Amino acid sequence: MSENTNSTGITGIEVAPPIVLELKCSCGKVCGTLTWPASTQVDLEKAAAEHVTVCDDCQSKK
Amino acid sequence: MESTRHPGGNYFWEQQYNELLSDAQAASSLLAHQMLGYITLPNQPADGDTVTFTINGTAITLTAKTALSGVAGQVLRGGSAAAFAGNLIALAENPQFTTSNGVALTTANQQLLSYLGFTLVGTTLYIYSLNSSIWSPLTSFTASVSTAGDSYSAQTMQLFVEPGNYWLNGTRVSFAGGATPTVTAPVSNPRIDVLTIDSSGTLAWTVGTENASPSVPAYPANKIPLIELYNVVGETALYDNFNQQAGQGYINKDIRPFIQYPLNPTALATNLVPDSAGGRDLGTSGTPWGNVYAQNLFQNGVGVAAAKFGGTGADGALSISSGTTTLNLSNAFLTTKNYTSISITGTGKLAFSNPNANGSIIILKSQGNVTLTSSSAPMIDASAMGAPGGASVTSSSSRTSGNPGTAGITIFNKTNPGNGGNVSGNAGGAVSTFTPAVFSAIQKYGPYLFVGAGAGSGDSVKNASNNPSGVGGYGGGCLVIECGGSWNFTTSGGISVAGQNGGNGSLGGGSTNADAAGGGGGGGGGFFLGLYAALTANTGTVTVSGGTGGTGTDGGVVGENGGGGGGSFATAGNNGQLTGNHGSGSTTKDGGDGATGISVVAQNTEFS
Repeated sequence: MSENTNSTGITGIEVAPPIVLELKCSCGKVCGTLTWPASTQVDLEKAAAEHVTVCDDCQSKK
Repeated sequence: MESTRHPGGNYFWEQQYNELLSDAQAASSLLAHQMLGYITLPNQPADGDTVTFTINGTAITLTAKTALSGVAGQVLRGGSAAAFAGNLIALAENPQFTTSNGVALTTANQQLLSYLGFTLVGTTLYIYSLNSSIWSPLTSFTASVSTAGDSYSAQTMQLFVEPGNYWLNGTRVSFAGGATPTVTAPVSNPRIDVLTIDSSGTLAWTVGTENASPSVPAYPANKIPLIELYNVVGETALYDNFNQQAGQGYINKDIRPFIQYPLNPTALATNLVPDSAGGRDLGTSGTPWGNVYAQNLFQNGVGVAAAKFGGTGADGALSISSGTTTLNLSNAFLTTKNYTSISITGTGKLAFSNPNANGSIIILKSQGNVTLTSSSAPMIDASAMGAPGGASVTSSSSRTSGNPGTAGITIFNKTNPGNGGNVSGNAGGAVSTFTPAVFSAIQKYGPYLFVGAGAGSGDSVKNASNNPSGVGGYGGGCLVIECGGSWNFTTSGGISVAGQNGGNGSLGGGSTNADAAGGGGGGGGGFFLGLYAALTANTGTVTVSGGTGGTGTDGGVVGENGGGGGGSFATAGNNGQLTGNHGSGSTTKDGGDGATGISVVAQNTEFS
């Protein structure tokens, strides 16, 4: 989080976005997500390796 | 205190002074401001002793008297030094009123005194200017005292801090008011200092670094910051922010902290510690806290297994709206995923790969809602994640028996019987397997966790060709879903722990009448357990069927044996069939079907 100032000059808190791992087919289509709060320590590489995704189109061509 | 400013020459009604007093009291707690100096009055004055304020060149004399006689400026000397000091400030702050302790001053002197503010701390009277940038009637001031041992000291390089109460690190401090340490003017460049007060009521300066554009020094820990003071080279006095003077220091910011309601220290950078070990409670039995979120909980130094139902959420929120996402089980006996929520919608599907050699137990925990509305059937596919079936055989001479399937794992692993004496061996019962590391993770579900057993493969009879038998089907997997939120499952056949179908036997090229190959049995159905905290819908269904046995084939002379179907919990697999000759090249189903598994979906009332 960081401090910022909005247009009215009032100091506020900027909230960091969540961590999102896209469950993506090798063709590039995103079929889903895994999402964590911004402050979470996540091993994204491990999570991606555990969740392998194939989209409907590529699945039908197999 | 430094009371509300008002135009010179204007006076307020008595009741209005009360309003001003209240307002100023509320705002002045720990307020730091400029001061002119202070009079120390440790000694009770003698009758006739005087205190003189010289304001804008006019001397105003207040005379201590044992008894008042109606002369303007008389102050009752009282019975002690403290009593006289109290009577003195009462008249100085209210010079228009005659009371039993003092006689009102002339109108001209009343106006001059209105340029000043006073605060009494013990027997020390602090005096300060009420000038501002828009109203500055005070042009000069000094004071004197005739009582031996009493004195006036001009002091413009200190600030005065008004009385106030505060809490600091569990200590309540009632600060009576007082002057700060003396400020030393910077030498070469401006400088910003921070004034703080600690849990002992001690005022202190955190001195900044001189710079052409000075920065505020870091606020010291475990102290209450009060002001930021801007110092300039050559300064001889410190002023209020609303009364800044050229070439002099001034209060740049009033930084007395206020805490929001409700208290939400989101960036608390230190431990929250009670004042004694075991002496404080978090909530009470009658007014407990709602949810407590923590990575670890300890009781008397020992870790407490808490918040197990629904898991930790460490694996994030799973959302699949299309395609197939396959979770790699990595041949593990037990795989547990801790999601914050699970959502499989649209055409999405969750599948699994690489089960354990004895089948896999899969536990999907969700702290929040589980939404299973995808049109894919099944959308969660744990079929064939149980024990493997027997491998296909191909006889090299005459008849070769098929391979047995693999026993599926259950929470209570069965002990193994000894083999009967026969030509192939008379081995004692094999050792049972037990995995303590995972026992604690699954034992809470009771004795019902199991995977479907693998089916046997068919046999193979060789005369002229190699005839591969049908492979036995995998048993169905074991799947548990913990839903800490609301369960919403609406798809028919949306979850599967079915056993795998058996493979078909086939004849090789150049087969003759005496060749044959049996079909594999179907794997036993697995187990599904869904536990939820709240229910939105549970109209979906779970497929727990055993796999269908495969077909065998023969060359028209000898029959074949199909593999037996895999067993399930409390249900036996179907036997494979020994067929007779059923016609050259014809096929018939001889593999036994797998046993049916079990599915339970219920509200969790037991696990915390």
